[in-house]
Amino acid sequence: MSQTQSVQDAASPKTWEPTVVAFLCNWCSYAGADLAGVSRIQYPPNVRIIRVPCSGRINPAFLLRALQNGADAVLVSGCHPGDCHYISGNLAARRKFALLKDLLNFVGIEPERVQFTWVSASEGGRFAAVIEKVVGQARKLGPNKKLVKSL
Amino acid sequence: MTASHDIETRLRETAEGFLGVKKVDLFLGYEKASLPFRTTPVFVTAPEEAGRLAWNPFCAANLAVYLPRLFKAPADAREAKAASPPTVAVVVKGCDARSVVALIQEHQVPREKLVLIGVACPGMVDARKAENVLGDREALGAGEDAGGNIRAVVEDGTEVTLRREQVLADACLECRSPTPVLYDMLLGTPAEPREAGAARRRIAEFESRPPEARWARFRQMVSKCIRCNACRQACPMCYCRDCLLDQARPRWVGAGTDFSDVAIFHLLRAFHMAGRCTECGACARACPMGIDARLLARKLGQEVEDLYGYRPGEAIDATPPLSAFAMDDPQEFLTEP
Repeated sequence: MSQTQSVQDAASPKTWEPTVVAFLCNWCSYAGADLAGVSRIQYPPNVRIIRVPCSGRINPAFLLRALQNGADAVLVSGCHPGDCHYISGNLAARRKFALLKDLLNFVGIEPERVQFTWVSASEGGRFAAVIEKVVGQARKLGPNKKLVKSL
Repeated sequence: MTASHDIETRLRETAEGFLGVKKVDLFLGYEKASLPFRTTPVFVTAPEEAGRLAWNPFCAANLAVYLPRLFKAPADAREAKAASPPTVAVVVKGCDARSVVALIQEHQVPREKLVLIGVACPGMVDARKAENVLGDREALGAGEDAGGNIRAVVEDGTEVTLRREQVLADACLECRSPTPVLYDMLLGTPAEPREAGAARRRIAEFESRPPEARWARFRQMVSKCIRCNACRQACPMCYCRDCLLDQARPRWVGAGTDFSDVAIFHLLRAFHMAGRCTECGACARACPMGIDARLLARKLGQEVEDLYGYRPGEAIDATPPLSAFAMDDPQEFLTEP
């Protein structure tokens, strides 16, 4: 048995469940997740949420690190364009995300492994639906083996 | 007399003149190297050394890489006050000039401290290609004939002519700006840009394969990497004092050659080049393992051009695409529930 604890806990083929790391912006998406919770909306428990000040805070290295450490998919969610707490953080981020997604797809990493969306503080239902979709796609893809570090 | 020879003479005269009247403190150019098909960068600081300057089909290196460190502010504030930045003349080809423009845009070098000696570039020889063509025969010397083709003298003293097109660097075969966009003085006859489709076809060919085949190709390509960081050191746009790759807390990318670390290294380096790469091919030239790092950078360059209508290194006053945004930027890539 491995002693190390990674994002993906000791997985056997039978019990394998996808792990999704979600980076949520403090002002919209994290509050949206909160609303999903207080509204008792059910969504898959496979998601591990990391709160960030803004989607503009996301460095692509965060996402690659998550994949390297065993995440089966990564989700970034921020405020809808025009609603950023810092005026334009999500707009600057949008360009980075578009290019990162293109690059990963180009080298043959499944596009569903890295996903981006906007969820506002009032969209608890949308948050749950996004998680449902991302987890479903990750489950279909199977464990992330391409970038995961096995050492 | 070849065109290169005329340019070489003009470069030497210019350097001698500029250094003689102290118009510049440093003249940055190329010097004949000890190996054929190559040159070495030379830092000329005295007029009597101007004769060391060379111009031939082997001046492939991008000299813009030396500029940021010449103008780097000292870490100590008192030193910074005392130091006055040098005035530097630098020989630039089309791609190098674009790098200089990008560096000026990013406030790494001051325009007023530069004298740009532009040379309209007919494309430079890839030393490794030339050596491959010669095969077992080792070249002892190389030059250019009047038609622009490459002459090499091999071991047994015979002379071999290599067609220039056959040994040009890949970056040069896809070059869209052979003539400098920015210069204070221009030498040589402006050359025709290559058609824009050449690089696009190469990217499209890669993209036409299924994802698993692309991954296999990428894996095969970067697995050769020994993580020597030569591509980073050779790149004029990789000037960060504290490189993300060197950080230890957190360590974003492991230092070894574990495939996962190598893959992430190449992906991150390519990503940092998005909207900044001027396609000089220095990374590919520097790689001791023959990895074509241009592929990923070129793909992102094309993406930036298509999505945001921007080509790096064309105008000093343009805003780099990742420092800007528009309300209506494309966002089809978003996940909708």
